[in-house]
Amino acid sequence: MSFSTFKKTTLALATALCLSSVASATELTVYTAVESDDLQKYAERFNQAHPDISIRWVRDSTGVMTARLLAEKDNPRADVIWGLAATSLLLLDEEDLLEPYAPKGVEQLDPKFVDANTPPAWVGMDAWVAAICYNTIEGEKHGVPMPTSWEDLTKPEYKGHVVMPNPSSSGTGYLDVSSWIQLWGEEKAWEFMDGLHENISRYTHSGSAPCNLAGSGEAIVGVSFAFRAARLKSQGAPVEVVFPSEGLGWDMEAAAIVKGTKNMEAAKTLMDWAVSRDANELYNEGYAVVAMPGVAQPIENYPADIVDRLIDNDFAFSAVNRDRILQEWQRRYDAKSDAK
Amino acid sequence: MGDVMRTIQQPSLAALVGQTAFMPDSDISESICLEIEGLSKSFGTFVALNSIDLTINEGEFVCFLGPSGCGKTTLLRAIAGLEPQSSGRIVQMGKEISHLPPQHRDFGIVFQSYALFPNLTLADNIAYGLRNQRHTRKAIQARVQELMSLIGLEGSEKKYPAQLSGGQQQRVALARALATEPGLLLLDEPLSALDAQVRVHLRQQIKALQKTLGVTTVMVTHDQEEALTMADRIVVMNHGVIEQVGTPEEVYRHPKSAFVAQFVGNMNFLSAEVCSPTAVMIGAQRYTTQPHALENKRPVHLAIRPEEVVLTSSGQAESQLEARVIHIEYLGAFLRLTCDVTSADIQLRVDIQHADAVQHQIQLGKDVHLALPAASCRVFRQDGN
Amino acid sequence: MTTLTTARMTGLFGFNQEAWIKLGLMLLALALMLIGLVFPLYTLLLKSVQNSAGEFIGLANYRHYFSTPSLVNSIANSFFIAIMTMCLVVVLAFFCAYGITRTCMPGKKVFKVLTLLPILAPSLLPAISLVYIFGNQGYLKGLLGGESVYGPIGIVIGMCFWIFPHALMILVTALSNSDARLYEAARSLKTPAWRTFLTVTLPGIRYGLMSCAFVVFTLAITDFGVPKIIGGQYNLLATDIYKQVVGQQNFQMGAVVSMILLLPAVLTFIADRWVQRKQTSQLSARAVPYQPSPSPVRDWVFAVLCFSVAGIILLMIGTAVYASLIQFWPYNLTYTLRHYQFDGLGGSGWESWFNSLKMASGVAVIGTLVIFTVAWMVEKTKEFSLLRQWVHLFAILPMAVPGMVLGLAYIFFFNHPNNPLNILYGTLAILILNTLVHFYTVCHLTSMTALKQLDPEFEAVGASLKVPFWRTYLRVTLPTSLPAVLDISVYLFVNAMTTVSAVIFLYGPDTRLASVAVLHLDEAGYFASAAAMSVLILLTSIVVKILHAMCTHLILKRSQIWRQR
Repeated sequence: MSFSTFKKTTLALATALCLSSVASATELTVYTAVESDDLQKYAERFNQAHPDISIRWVRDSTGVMTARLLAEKDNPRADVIWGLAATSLLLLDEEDLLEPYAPKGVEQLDPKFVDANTPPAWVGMDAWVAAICYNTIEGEKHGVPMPTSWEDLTKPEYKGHVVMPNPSSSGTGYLDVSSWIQLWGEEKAWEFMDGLHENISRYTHSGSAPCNLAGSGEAIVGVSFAFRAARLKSQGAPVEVVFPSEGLGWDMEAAAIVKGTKNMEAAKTLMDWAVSRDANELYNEGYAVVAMPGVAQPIENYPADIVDRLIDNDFAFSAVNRDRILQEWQRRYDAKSDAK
Repeated sequence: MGDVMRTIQQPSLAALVGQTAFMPDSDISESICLEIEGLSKSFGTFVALNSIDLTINEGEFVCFLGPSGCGKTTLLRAIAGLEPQSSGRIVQMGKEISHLPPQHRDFGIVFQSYALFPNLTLADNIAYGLRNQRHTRKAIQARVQELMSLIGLEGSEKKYPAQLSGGQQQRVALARALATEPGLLLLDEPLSALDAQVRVHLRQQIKALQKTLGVTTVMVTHDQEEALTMADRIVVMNHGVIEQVGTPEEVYRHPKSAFVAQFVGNMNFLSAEVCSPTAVMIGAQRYTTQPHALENKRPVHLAIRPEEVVLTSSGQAESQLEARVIHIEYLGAFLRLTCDVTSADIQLRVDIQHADAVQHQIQLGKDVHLALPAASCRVFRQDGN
Repeated sequence: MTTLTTARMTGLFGFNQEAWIKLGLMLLALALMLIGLVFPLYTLLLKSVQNSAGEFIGLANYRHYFSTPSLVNSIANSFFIAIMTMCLVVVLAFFCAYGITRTCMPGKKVFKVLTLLPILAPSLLPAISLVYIFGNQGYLKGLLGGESVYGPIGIVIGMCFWIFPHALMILVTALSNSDARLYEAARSLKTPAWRTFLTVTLPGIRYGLMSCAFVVFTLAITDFGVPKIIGGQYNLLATDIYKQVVGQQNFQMGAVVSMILLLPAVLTFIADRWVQRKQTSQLSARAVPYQPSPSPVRDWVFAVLCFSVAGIILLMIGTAVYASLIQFWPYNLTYTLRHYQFDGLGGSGWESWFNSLKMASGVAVIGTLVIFTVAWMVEKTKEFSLLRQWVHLFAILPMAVPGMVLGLAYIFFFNHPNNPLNILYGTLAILILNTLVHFYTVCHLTSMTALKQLDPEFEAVGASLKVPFWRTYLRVTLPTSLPAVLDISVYLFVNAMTTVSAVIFLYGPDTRLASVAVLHLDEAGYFASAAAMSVLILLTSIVVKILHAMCTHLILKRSQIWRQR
């Protein structure tokens, strides 16, 4: 048993003891797609401010969490969503699954990061940005050059060396597809994806897997996102983080209260904290762009001008067309299977 | 092996019948233990028991005898409540038990397979039913001791069934069934799984034990010898009905049907035709028989046991046959001749003692004269009754 | 007066206290089957003919399915994989079983133990190992001659690995059940060896071979773990269900694929039951077991063959262990234990292992008690024959239901807002119930076999001695069947530890299991930690298996006095 497990057990025991004495302590079920490396950290930071609310995480890829929330529509099991793609939250709002609430201090956030309705149905946390992981060792061995643009990936020398997430299950996968469509328009984007599809060796379930695959040399190029790429590089993997020249797709991680929660007070407390400066500093440890202006510090392995390279993302477009785009994508590429 | 044993012991059959017939039955009281009325049982379309009526007296030893599938075991299991009847009534000691489950009836049972609990010691096996009756531990121990010595296994309390021989195991099963002093002891082919010598020994023991304890006992068997030697009364069954109820002697000497005649002991059946209430014709020959009630001209069977056929030296006219010995079987204590009857196309089995064989110089191909004493000639209808 | 009333009462209904208790128990068993199997499957069937709003739309979903080439392709793919696996495994298992039963090859015992290992590991383990062996950085990549391991090749190899022991056990049994006198007769008639093989050996095991083929086919077509990890873009029915449900939350299509996957599984199941019935009547009770005589050349040929197979098994397991201990494959090959610190890698870290332990122990204890008791009710009760037949049928049925299908059916049934049982959703209880039902059949059949070996009159004797039936059960039936009971419990434990297919849909935030964690770690790209978690599962199973062997040994030793016959 590792030390941290021991610590956690002690914590749990202590919490249990508190629970028995202080009846006010509540447990929130929080659905999230935040990178699992960070979940514990998020909960601990929150608990420093609010020790009386414990968080029960349910984590999966963006697509899965979205689908799960939709499926549980009649019988919601989550109290709060903390860290899910804004496109997904738009969709959930459309299904009337979110409880609008203006957290204390929401006015300090960049308005771009807050739902336009009043009170807002959701509030943004940070932006997560598309990026490519390139394995330098394997690239050299197989004579596959480092790509600099999205277009590069359709070149024949990448055939069988590219891995990308499946947009149906992965939020990263979907932001890639949606950003290409926004960059080039539908027709050209699908043409590009047709070409890319020729070079893809595998579509993965999660958005971080392509980067991990590139890191371990199973693939040379992994279409992933900046957070995972930067983290992997700092861990010593032989990867180079590539930010394609055409522009970077991105999505916002956001938080919201699930309609029908039985723990409204605790849910509001969490929302209030999620827009606080502390929280934004926490987000900044992994993400270069956060909701509160002036907080963001440049971080390792990210370019300084990252904000300028983001495309002008139309979340409403992404959300409204999500179903249609995904169906089209499946029609075109999900059958790849035996094309080998 | 089993068949040989049975045939070797064949001559003793008639003798045994004699013994039991003379046994005093004064100790059998006349009060009724079990009354069965119109009991029927069917499995789907198969009728296992067809309206059985039977009364069993207190202290009596009754055998259900019949071929496999005749319904004898079904009847026993119905009495035990293990195989509920389809219709009919069972009354035990004046109390209707027709619909009571086994645990509310009053009986002990012993199975062919012993059904001893392998993981319990002999003492625990025997005490199995006692422990439930709120006896003191001491009383249980005393009762176990008593039963162990009754079956001659004292000192083996701590042993497990697997350490005993088959005969010993069956005695333990008997002790276990008797431990709670049931009003009725049911034995389901208790000796069938044992080898011949143990079987003979144990049937004497069981019989003696039953006499001592005076417990009303019903035993199912397909072995006629077992039934003849042990039973006070035999219930012969076939195809779900009772063919005959009677003492061993009655069943052996006066079978009421061709089935009983054939199933208990050996019997020659000769095709014949009725010619008077006391005689039948085989071919042109007339034979005097026991009185019967069958009409003239009816085709019948004349039945006579091989040991009842008399070897005579010369030809008196009536009830006699001329025959030729075509086969001789040496069966130990006696010889069984197969004889071809000269005047008709029939064969006759005849059991004779060695002395007679010597006297009549019996050998293959020898022509002999056979007499069929009228008292031994039974007449049965050809359709089986 | 009172006795008269009682007599009339019992006379009227034919019932008494014990019968009421028995009826109660049987109804409980039936309720378990209905709630745990029948209702969920029925809900699944309903879902497949409804749209997402829950309106009946007939076969529209099926029409949509069959007009979507990417989905229909999976049917052919699944059959191709299952048949390939079947051919390979049956042939390999036949040679190995022949080596064990019909030759005097050295090291039989060691070989038998080694072939058990794959059963103790989750089916995800071979797939992970294959990535390290044949993946793009695999150390034996060259052997594939440029073909990718992600796809049919990897799937078939992975499946062969974990299905092999199942096939081997069936064929060893089939080959052991032969009558030596037939061989003596053949020899005395001067029959050449090849003809003896064709006329005696093969006919003797033909039902065993058929049954083996069916079992392998079913396991292969329903397996989810292997294709999930190494399937790449090669779609199979089992992975399609997962993709439809977890990836796209398209429950209706998930239900349709489930129904389609259910079909071959049920058909093979029916065929297998038919073959099993034939097989039992084949061997006479008086058969003399065959004893092989030494023949150096043959013995060594089989030894080499068998130990090559064992070598591959060890290679696969060794690779997983190695992978879990390497810093960063393939660039940093120093040893480390850090992959066993699962915290912060999503999942629930070690907690998921504890959850698995809890779940497996729960299934082993509750499952053994429930299954054996129900089997005993079915086999030894005389009353309620119709009820007993139904319970027996439902007890045999789960084998025909693939784990993915059962899991999905549970979501539909237990997460329905109007079902009061939906409080179970996401709890350990539902995982236990699901796993218990999923692995019910084999345990039920094992119990029935053990019970049939007991004297059929124990219950009658108990009743005649006026001992309540439950006391006879506790004092005699259960103790005498203890080895079988232990077998069942360890079977349940190991399967609960390693299964992933059904529970993947059912775990909740607090009840994530180790096997599910393996899958998630792999999905997120933490391959070394995924390997570490599967090794952990394997080790747990091995420890439990060793404990079981020791327990059985002790029990047999203690009960040796009364067990010898």
